[in-house]
Amino acid sequence: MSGQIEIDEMSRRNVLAALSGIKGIPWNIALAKVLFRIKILAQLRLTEKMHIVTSRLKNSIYVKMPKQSDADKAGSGMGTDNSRRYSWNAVGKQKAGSGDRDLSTVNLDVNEGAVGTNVEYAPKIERRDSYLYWAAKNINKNVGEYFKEIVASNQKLYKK
Amino acid sequence: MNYPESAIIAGLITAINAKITGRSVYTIPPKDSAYPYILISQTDMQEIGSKAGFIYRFEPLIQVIHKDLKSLTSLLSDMNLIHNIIKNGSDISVTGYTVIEMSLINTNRTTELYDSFRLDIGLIRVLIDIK
Repeated sequence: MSGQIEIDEMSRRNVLAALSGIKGIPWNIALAKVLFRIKILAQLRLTEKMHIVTSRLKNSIYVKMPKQSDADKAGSGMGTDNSRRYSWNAVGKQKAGSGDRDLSTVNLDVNEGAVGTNVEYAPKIERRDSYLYWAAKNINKNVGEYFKEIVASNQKLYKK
Repeated sequence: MNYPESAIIAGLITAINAKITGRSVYTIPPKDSAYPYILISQTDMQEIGSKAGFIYRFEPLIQVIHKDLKSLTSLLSDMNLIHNIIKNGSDISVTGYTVIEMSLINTNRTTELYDSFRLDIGLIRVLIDIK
């Protein structure tokens, strides 16, 4: 089965102009930026839902790209740390520590990217109170406003 | 606008009970609840309608939770029966609303190890649009 669409000259020019606008976009960087938005939102969600003790899970979230320099470029542009090593704090009987963020079991094709964590208890929290899926679903959320909401909410709790 | 979570949950529980016998379906599992059981969780809603009217999108996570399994057979059977509900159409009844679509987002399995037992869990994320 085949089909043909005919468009008038003005529409054709508009379509071509629109396409030329996206021609120069570096898609790998654009993808990395989307993944970093998910990472930042997931980290804020963990804070909002009070899942932070040592910050291990929060600090472990990692953006992985086939060419990792793409992720580093996008990450530094968004002011977020995405280096392989990360650390967490000592709290009570739990000692401070450090680890490797790499998502070693994730194999990526050329146009793919991943955001996630290798912390062993991460799936348990995701199952009970989603932060990564939630972040991907709420990618359009205003990060700055969300941050302010969490700070205000925490301040109220602190005053109580 | 409404928040039809209770109607969605009631519709899901009815549909699951019609497919699977001998499994309790919870939204909040009681303390010391017997395994296996089915948990309907993460029922966050988004409104995706237009000026023509509201369309409510739910993407609940249906969890099939078994304990100390020696074989995956019963877990996979439960998961299969839940998937049988999904036919990419108006697959459940939601009182007071019209179901536009029910489809599968993804399915996964996970294992959680505790000091004295292990949980084997099937995770089924579905999309339900109602108006």
